[in-house]
Order: sequence, then structure tokens, then C-alpha cells
Amino acid sequence: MPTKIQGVIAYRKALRQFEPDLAKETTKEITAFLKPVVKDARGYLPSNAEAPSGWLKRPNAKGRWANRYYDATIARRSISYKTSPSKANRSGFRALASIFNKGAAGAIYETAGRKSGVTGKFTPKLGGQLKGDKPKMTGRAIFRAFEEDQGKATAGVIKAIERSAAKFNAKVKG
Amino acid sequence: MADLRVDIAAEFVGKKAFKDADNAALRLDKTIKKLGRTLGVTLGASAIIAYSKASVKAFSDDEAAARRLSSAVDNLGLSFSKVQVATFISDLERTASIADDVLRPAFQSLLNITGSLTKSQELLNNAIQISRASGVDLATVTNDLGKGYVGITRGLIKYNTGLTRAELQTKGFNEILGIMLAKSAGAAQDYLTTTSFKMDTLALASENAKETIGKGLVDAFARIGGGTEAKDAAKAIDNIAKAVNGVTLVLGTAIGLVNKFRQGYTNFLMDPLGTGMGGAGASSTNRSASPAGTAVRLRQQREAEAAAVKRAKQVADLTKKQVASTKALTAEQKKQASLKKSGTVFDLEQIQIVAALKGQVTKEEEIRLQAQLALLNGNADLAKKLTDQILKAQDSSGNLAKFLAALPNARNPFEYLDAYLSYLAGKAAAIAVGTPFGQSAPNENAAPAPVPATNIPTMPSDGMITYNTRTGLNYNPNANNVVVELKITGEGDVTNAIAKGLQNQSLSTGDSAYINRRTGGFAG
Repeated sequence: MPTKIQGVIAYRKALRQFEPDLAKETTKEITAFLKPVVKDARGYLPSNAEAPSGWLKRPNAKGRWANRYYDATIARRSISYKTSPSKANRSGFRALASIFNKGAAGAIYETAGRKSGVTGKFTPKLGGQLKGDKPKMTGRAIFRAFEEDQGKATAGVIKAIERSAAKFNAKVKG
Repeated sequence: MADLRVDIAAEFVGKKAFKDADNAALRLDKTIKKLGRTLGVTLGASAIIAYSKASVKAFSDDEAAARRLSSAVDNLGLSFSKVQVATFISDLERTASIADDVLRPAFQSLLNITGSLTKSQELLNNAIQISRASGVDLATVTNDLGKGYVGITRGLIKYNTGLTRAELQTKGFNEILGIMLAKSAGAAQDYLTTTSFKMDTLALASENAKETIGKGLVDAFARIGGGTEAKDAAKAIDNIAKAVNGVTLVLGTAIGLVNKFRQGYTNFLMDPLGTGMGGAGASSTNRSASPAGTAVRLRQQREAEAAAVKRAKQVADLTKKQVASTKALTAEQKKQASLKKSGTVFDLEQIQIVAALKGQVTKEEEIRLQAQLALLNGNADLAKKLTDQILKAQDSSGNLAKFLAALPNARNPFEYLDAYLSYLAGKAAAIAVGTPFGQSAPNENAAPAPVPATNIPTMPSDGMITYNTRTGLNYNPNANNVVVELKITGEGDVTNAIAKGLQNQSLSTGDSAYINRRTGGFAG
């Protein structure tokens, strides 16, 4: 569940304009809390040797399956973070920071079996652990890393913003 | 593909759909309001409340103005004439279609200035006529007439009476007023036939209705608010504004109360004591048929009129005195000017000049005397003319030119330097071309040329600056220095003394640079 806070986006926008140094410092602090989660998430991805052999790149593959393969390097590269606010979602929320997994193969590894269960021929071969507090926040890479982080990243981001706001107020007042 | 993302610390910024709905509602609201205004239809409870508030305000303003006038009448000692004043204002409002809000302050200012009820009424009527004719607003006209009444007629110039400023100052107020009224005659009657007058009448009726409703609302809402004062009414109106849904019902009740109140108010005016004997239906008694207080009122009016007449007479006398003093001052100034003119006859300087002119004088002297006389009398033109003639005469005589021609040439004070400079120039030229100049060039062995003799006293030399005929001046800063050369060559007393001194210095400062060569320790 994302933590709801108010006025931070406007604050960070103002900060960039009036105190660019403090804005950079804030971003750096937020980054410091996000990076470990990203690192863990990347660590949960299987190497090419661990991945199901049929899922790897086949030089002779043709047609639609020619590009549907798992590559550990690409999958790891696709897991990243961002400290700028996101667009508002359908409920009207904008995230201040986010960790995402945007690779196709990485997404399959992340989510496979979270709805139908670890059954069939493919999903059990993926390995890893599906972790998360609710269905849409369950996964093997980023969701697992976030779950195991136990909210430290969120708390750290908020703390970083609070500290920054305190510094800004101190500067403004005096 | 699903958006695989972990959002950290999200902020709610509102749904777009909500904003759209808000904007749409706002636009709709604006459109409806505009339509309502265009059609002149007071839509909704808010319009009713706004009108109610405006009515209450109009009533309160009117009431305050009435109280001010009442106090002014009291202060002038005409307390028993309040009803007459109210009737006069009310009648004038009806006939001239000028709101009592305007009439009351105008009448009050006139009453304060004149102190007379009749004079104030007369002046207010005149002011209305002049205002209608000139287009100047009634308050300004009343103010100007009031000032004119006490002799300050400067403001009356704007009414284009045809009188000069001086005439306005010297003529009496009644005379000026007569001229103004003559010029604006019929304007008030003509105005009654115009559409503007009809519009004024309608506006006035609307304003009066507003005031009446305001009064009714104050009382009615005060009762709704559980009190009897205006603040209770205000509270009630605010409560009603909050409860918009119920306002129509409440207003309906209020209008009913207004009618009730109006009836009650009329009854109260007819019979303030509630005896049931008010108005025309009162039974006959042995008392005078005139209303109570008539005698006192008449007496007050008589006294006030007398005081006003007295005051007017004083003002008139004062004006007369002022005019008389101005005239006297002007006459005195004229007299002074005449005396000054006559005084010039006895001016001794002038007498002397005139006497001289009568004597045997040359033409030039005559002109000079005439010019002097003109200067004394301040006749600038004649003085200039004669002065020009004198100058011309001086120029034509030519004596001055002759004198200047006879003057010898001024001697050149540096004449004696010419020969010397020529000599120097020749020498410089000879040096430049390398040819002997009159004499052979001096060789090394030749005796130097002697230093030219001058009258500059010879200063004692210290040998630092010397002069050489070939090289010029020389400066030797060391010329007077005495060199003392000290040499320490052996192990004698001087060397030991220096070594000891250095070792002692080492011990006192702690510097180990100077140590005993033999013992390796510090020298002792």
C-alpha cells in the first residue's frame, strides 16, 4: 500500500527552482534507499543457466518466438528505479519514487503463476519465490525485494523528504 | 503487458473526472446566473437574501440621515418644528422627485447656515430650481448658496450669471440670487415634463419601497431572531442565508409581517399613546383645536426667525462695511499716487536740472540735462533716445579717435632678449650641421669654456654633485662615505669574544647551533 502524503510534488518542484543543490541532495538520499531494493531484485533473477532451456535465445528460431526469450543481462538491466514523480493513476495518485521491471522476460519471471498458481510445465521450472502482501504486489523480483525490504525504502524516502523540508524551512526562515 | 511497478510514497492529486465535473458545474452555475440577470428574474434564495440585505441597509441609512436632521433641528432650538420639517421634506420629495436622502443633508446644511426654517426652505427650493437649470447636483448648489448667504460668493461664478468676479464680490447675495433665479426660471417646471423626471420618480419609488421593506424586514427578522433590534435581524438573515431551502417560506412570512407592521406603524403614528382616540375621529374637548405644542412651536419659530433676520442684517452690514473699506482703500491709494506725482515738482535735483536747462547751455549739455531729467522722472523711452543722441554726438566729434591715434607705441619689455635668443639659435644650428660657429670646436686638451657668469649665488658643495663641461652634471652618492674594513684572521681575543657571545646567545635562546667545539656541549 503506497503511503499517502500531500504537497511533496509541489515542494520538490519548488526546491528544484529555488534550492537546486538541496534538490540534488534529496534525490541522492532517495536514491540511496531505492538502490538496495533494485540490487536485491536483480539478484533474484535467474542466470541464463538457471532459466528453463527452452526459454533461452535459440539462434534458429523464426517467427513470433524469435524475440521471446530470456536473457539474464537484459532482464537485470530492465529492473531500475526512478526518483521523479510518476503520472497520476486512475485513482488520482502520483508516486514520488518507483521501482519498476520493464523487460518482457523479466515481467514473465516476475508474475508467472501468481494468479493460476505454480502449476503446468513452465512455471515450476522458473524457481524463485512469489512474495507480496496482495495479488497485484506479488512477484519474484521487484515485488519480492520490496516485500523483504519491509518498508525500509518507503520510510527512508519519506524521511529523506522530511529532512530536506526541514533544511529548506531552516534556510528560508533564517 | 502489466505495469510492473512498486510505487513508493504516492500523493493524491485528485481525479481528473472530479475536476471536469467541478468545472462543468461552475460553468452551468454561471450561465444560469447570467440568464437570471438578463431576464430580470431573481432566481434562487441568494438573490432574495441580497435584496433583503440591501433593503435593510437602505432603511438604516435613511433612518440615520433622519436622526441627523432631527438633532440639527433640536440644536437650533426648533424641536417643536420637527414634524413640519419632516412634512416639508416629504412633500418636496414627492413633488420634485428627489430622494429624501439627498434633501435631508441639503436642508440640514442650509438650516445650520441661515438658522431660519423659512429661509432654509426658500433656499432649498431655489437650489432645486438652479440645480435643474444648470445641471449641477443639488448638494453642490446648496453648498454654494449657503456660502453665498454668508458672503462667500466665489462659488457662484460657475452658474454663468454673467457677473464678473468683482461684481460677485461687491453685489449682495439677494441680488445675485435674483439674477440666478431669473436665468433659471421655469427650469424646475420644465423638468417635471421630461422622461428623466419620470425615471427619477420610478427610481425614487423603488428606493422608498426598498426602505419600507428594509424597515419591515428589520423588525420582522428581529422578531424571528428572538429580539427587537437590528443586530437580531442581521443574525436572523444570516441564519436564513445558511438555510437556503427554507428562505422562501420565511420571506413569505416576513412579507406578511411587513404588512402587519406597516398597519401597526400607521396606527402608532395616528395614536401613539394607544388611547384609541387618534386622528380625525378624536372626540372634542375644551382644549384648543390646534395640536399640542403649537404655541411653543410658533414661539420657537418666531424667535429663530428673529435671530436669523438679525444675523442676516449683521452679515449685510458687514458686507457693506467691507465694501466701504475697500472703496476707502482704493481712494487712499489714488490719493497717494497723486501726492507722489505732485511731490516731484519739489524735487531739488529736478529743480536744478530745470534751472540749468533754462540757462546758457550748449546743445550737447542740453541733451545731457534732458536725459538726466527723463531718468529722474522714470521716462525710460525718452531717456534711451537722448542717451543714444549723446553717444552719437560723441562718436561724430572724432576727438576720441584722434586721442587714440596720438598715443605712442607701447614698448616691448622683452626687447633685450631678442639678441640673446638669436645667438642661441645660431649656435644650435651650427651644432646640428657640424660646422664651426664663429670659432673652432674645442678639443680634449683645450681649456674648457668658462661657466657663464650668473647672479646666482654659489652654494657650498659637498662633492656629491659635480659639473663636467663635457658630460654635464654628475651625481656620486658615495662621495662622502668612509669605508672601515674589519678583518678577523686569527684565534685572538676578538674571535674568542665573538664565539663566547654566540654560545651565550644559544644558551639563553635554547638554540643549539652554537656549541663548544671541544666538549660538544654548550659553551659556559
